[in-house]
Amino acid sequence: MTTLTDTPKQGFRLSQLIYDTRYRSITIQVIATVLIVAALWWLARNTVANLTALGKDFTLEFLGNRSGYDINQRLIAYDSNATHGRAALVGILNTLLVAGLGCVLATILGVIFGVLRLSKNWIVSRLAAVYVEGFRNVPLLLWIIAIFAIMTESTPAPKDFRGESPAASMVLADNMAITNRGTYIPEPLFANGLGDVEIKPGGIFADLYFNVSIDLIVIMLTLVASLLVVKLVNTRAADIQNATGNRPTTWWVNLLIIFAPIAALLWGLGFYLGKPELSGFNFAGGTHLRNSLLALWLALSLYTGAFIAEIVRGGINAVSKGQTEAAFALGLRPNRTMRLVILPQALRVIIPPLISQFLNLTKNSSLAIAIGYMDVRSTLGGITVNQTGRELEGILLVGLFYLLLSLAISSGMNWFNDRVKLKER
Amino acid sequence: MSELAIERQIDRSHMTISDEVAIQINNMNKWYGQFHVLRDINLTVQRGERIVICGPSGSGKSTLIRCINRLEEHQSGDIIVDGTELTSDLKNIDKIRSEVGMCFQHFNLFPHLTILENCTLAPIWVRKVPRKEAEDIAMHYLEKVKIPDQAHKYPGMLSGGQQQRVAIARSLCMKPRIMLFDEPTSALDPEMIKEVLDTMIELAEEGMTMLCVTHEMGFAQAVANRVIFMDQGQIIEQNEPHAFFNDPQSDRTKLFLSQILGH
Amino acid sequence: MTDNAQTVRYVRETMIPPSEPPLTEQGAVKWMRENLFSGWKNSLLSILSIYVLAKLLISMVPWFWNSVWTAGSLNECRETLAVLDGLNTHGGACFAVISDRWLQLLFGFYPAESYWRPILVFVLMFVALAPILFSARLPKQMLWFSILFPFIGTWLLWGGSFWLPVLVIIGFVVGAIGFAVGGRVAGTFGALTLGVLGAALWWMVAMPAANNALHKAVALSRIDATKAELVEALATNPEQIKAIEAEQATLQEQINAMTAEKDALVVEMLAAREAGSEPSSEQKAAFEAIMDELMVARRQNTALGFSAFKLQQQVSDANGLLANIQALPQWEADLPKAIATAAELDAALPAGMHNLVSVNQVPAGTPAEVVDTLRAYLDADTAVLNLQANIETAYERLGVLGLTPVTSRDFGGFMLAMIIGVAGIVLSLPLGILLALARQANLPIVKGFAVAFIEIIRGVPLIVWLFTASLLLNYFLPPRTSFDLVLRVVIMVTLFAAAYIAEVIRGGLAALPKGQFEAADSLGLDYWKSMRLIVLPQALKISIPGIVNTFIGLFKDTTLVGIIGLLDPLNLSNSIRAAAEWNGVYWELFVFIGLLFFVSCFSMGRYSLWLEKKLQRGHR
Repeated sequence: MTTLTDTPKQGFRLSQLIYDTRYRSITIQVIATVLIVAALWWLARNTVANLTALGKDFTLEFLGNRSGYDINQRLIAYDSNATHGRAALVGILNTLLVAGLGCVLATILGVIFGVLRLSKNWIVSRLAAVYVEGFRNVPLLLWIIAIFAIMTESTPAPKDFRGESPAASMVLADNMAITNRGTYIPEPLFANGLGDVEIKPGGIFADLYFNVSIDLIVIMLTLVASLLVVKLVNTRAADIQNATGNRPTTWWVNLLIIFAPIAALLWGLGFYLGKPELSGFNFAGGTHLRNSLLALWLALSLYTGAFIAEIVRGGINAVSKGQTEAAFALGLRPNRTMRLVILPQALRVIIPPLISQFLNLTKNSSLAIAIGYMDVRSTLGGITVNQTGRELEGILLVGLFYLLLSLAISSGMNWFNDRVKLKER
Repeated sequence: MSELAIERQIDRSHMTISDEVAIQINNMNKWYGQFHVLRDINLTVQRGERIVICGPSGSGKSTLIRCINRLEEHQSGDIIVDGTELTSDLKNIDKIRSEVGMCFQHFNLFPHLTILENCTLAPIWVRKVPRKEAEDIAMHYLEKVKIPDQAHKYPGMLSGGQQQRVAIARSLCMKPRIMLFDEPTSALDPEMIKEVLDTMIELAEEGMTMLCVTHEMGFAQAVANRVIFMDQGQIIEQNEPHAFFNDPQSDRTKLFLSQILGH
Repeated sequence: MTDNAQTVRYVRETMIPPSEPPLTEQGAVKWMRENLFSGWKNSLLSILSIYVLAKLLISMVPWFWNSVWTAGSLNECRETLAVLDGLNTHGGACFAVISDRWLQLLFGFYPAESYWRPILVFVLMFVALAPILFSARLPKQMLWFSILFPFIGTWLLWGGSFWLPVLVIIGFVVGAIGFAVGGRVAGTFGALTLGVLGAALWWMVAMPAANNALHKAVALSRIDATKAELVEALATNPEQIKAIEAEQATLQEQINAMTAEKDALVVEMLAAREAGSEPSSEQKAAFEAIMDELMVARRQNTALGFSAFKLQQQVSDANGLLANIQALPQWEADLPKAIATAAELDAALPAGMHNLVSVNQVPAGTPAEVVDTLRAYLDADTAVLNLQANIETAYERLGVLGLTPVTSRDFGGFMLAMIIGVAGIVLSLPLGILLALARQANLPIVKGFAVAFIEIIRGVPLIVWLFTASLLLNYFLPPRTSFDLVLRVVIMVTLFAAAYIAEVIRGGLAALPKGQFEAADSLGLDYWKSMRLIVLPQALKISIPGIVNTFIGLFKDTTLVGIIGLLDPLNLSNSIRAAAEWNGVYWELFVFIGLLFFVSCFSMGRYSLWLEKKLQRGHR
């Protein structure tokens, strides 16, 4: 660029802060920062004033105190003599448990109903639509309470299973008992089990002690090893295909590799199922799935599943009909077309909203409070807050937990998005 | 409708029509619901023929060629391709689809695969060709359509004309004996139409049996040995190109030609 | 080229007319074949679906079909089912609970004589929404009503003097004037500063003063008439109450007699069933007739009880008001003295202690006399505040000119869900727009703040935010400020919705072609003008479907406010169940509430889908 006439050089004037594009954005940002910091300072000052007026301070010491309450649903050892911190941990694990289970079941339901809704079969697609619209348009809380009510109001009490001609009986060949106190299912047990290993960290993590079954670790390791071998077999099959054009059949080899070692291991450990049995007025043995967990799990999965079904349907619809036609015109069979052409494209569309549905499900699991499932909001943000009067700290910690979880999941999603983005000009 | 003059000299040495029948369609009818789209179609295509099908939109011309590789199902009459009758038998459909190549108006390249992968997908999974060999074939045809250097790019990174040429190469990789073109140039800008038409002309020069639905009348005059005019789901008129354009018989044909040529 | 003209030449002489498809391609047979039984997999799926559907219908239809609508309690429902149809408890629904309590599920404890107010607001809401949702067909002038609606609606719902909405609107006018003046003097910055300052000053200082003055003027102008009215009410009401109670007593006797008659009939009919014979149709008719009569009598009884209660309330109100009127001169005389005392004590306090609100705040090591002074000052200050509040409330009660005030405590049911949902969305729009613009702006720090706000809000569940509203909001506000719970929830829901709305609008902004921004710039419009005149109108229009979807989500989420103690429909269903007569009713309430939510959410969802399609077509 050339200047024909010299522009007169001027010194810096105050009005440039506003009218000069070079300084303007800095000025705006400084003003915004000052305003926001002032607002935050105002809030903090109010909080301090209110806290001292109430004779309170801000401390997390209460986490180390004895909790004094019981939690019936727990994955790790806990009793009322444990600390509030431990109770919070139990709650966190319960949140993660129901969220994890929910995500799995919701995905299964969503994929099934999303595909069914696309079916050319009129009645099937209509039923799928009824499921989707029915669950999507009614508040989740209502579903949670209603499903919980079904489980507690219209199932028999354990005592109904007693006597010569009981009013209720167990299902699945006497393996499972559905009662108003929860469902009892067989529990995996090992005759020659390897015992537990105790993990006990020190310092501020002293509350994080827990036991892990060595059997479980060994089974998991075997499973991982089998999966690695399966991957190897598939790579080899692909190599053979690349070299000769014919892909060897691998599915039965893969099944064998996955199941044979596990079966052998289970046999070696003396695996058997401990059936639930009626003793007195209740069931003993077996795994007890509480109604609160089951109802929350089912309601979250059914509700989120309806949203996922719409996402799956949208994702498949987003792949244009021309893609299928082109694949057909090349001679590809429908199954191959689905696997090689439609799914890889549909998944790119499906996965980001799917993950944000997982996020929603995790956040919605905080509705556990309505039916007394002890998640992190009910332990740390509920009973602990009520007992210690530390509502500020308690709710802050709960919020922080959810926030960190959300940020972790959404940064994972961003990474995925960047990786699979379609390359265009 | 653009009418590009075909400037190049066309080499007709390999353009021979044999007596062997490539496609035979007898009394074929098709309905969409209550709507009668194709009415009593009778058509015999001999090996080596280059047929251009034209007609107003909604006249059933695309539907006709989509019936030939069973992208659409016909309800009565028969279609015999290369001696194989098209029925709902999956084996026959597979056989015909691997013999018949097709190019679409919107290219329909697979956006998640590279150009090379687009071209090797069907040979590998349908013809069971080893990957190396499939890639050699693909490169051969990509060179033929003059875009070998784009092989590792994704479709979204190519221009429309390039994409359509890739789509042609992709079909050729299956070594088809018949090629169907469904308005291959109507989604393209004028300067890109030429490159696609050039590719199609080269294909014709090699003696490929071709059925083209197109409004490129320059192409029809230069390459086709037969032009078919369709309206309201039926074949109204057919003739060799010179006579078709200079001496149309039916009123409908005259009207259509005056609209399409008379700017 | 081979000459094949002879063989290929063909001209059609006669056109083939369209014909019907072959019989196998038509009608129900074809439909069934294509839609239900194409291939064995599909047939299997169809049969399975029909089986599931049949199973569901068989289990549910009788329950609805045999439902009981006239009964005073769950027990009577069961009796009716047993004697009329010989069914057990689960044989039929007891929708009598809905016919008994549906108004409560819709309005909560909103006073029945004022139901017209929320209904009117509901109708007016559609009038206000119409020019936004169906912009093409309605005159632009209707938008003025849309702008006024929030003020009118709030006033209608909460009641109070008619000048309140006017005073609030004046604040906006003051802000607008400040904006214009400031803009002329010192550009955008001046405009913003003066606008915000002007409006804030009006609302915080001038408006309360004006409001109080108006109340006082009205109160004083009619104080004698009011007094006379109150005295008369005190004189006549007790007699009326007595009359009503007498009437109630006779009615109760009738009811008791009818109940006994009904019980006898029930015993008779059950005995007949026990013996294995169906009760006679006369018996059934008699039972139905007596149930109808009984319900009429009960309803009458409830109405009587209600009017007696109203009269009683009037008496206690009148007593309170009379006491207020008597005490007013004293309060007004005491106030200056109290203010003087407080000021004196305040002056005696050491520097740095003037803002304290509790003796707990005193730093350690402060001398005891200072603490005592502070305590005395705080007491005096509280006395001043109490006096002021007493005087204000008294004048407000005496000087209301408009609608009877209703406290938010009484709000509930679907009305509450609608109020929270609509208020949340409407109030969050301005903040949402600002956040969306900030997130899009080329200003890293501003953008950072916007992203942080949006992510924090969206990363934490609504229920945690609601607990924040109910337990923590008071911590964050200056000492001694407190709002009622509904208002706190609305504030929190507004912040919550703003984050979601911001993302929706950001989508709308991103969907606009870049050329629109460039065109606006090239016309020489500054940032705010180009946003206001060109970009936002288009972006907001594209965002409407997203905003509607956010509203659907928020509307469903309003059920969560029950967890912090507000009377949303689900919480109301709990309190209905807590009443002795409806203890044990679950499904009927769930079905009713679920159906109401379903109908509203489903129809809104369809609207948003329709709009999305329309916008897509419009853009092509």
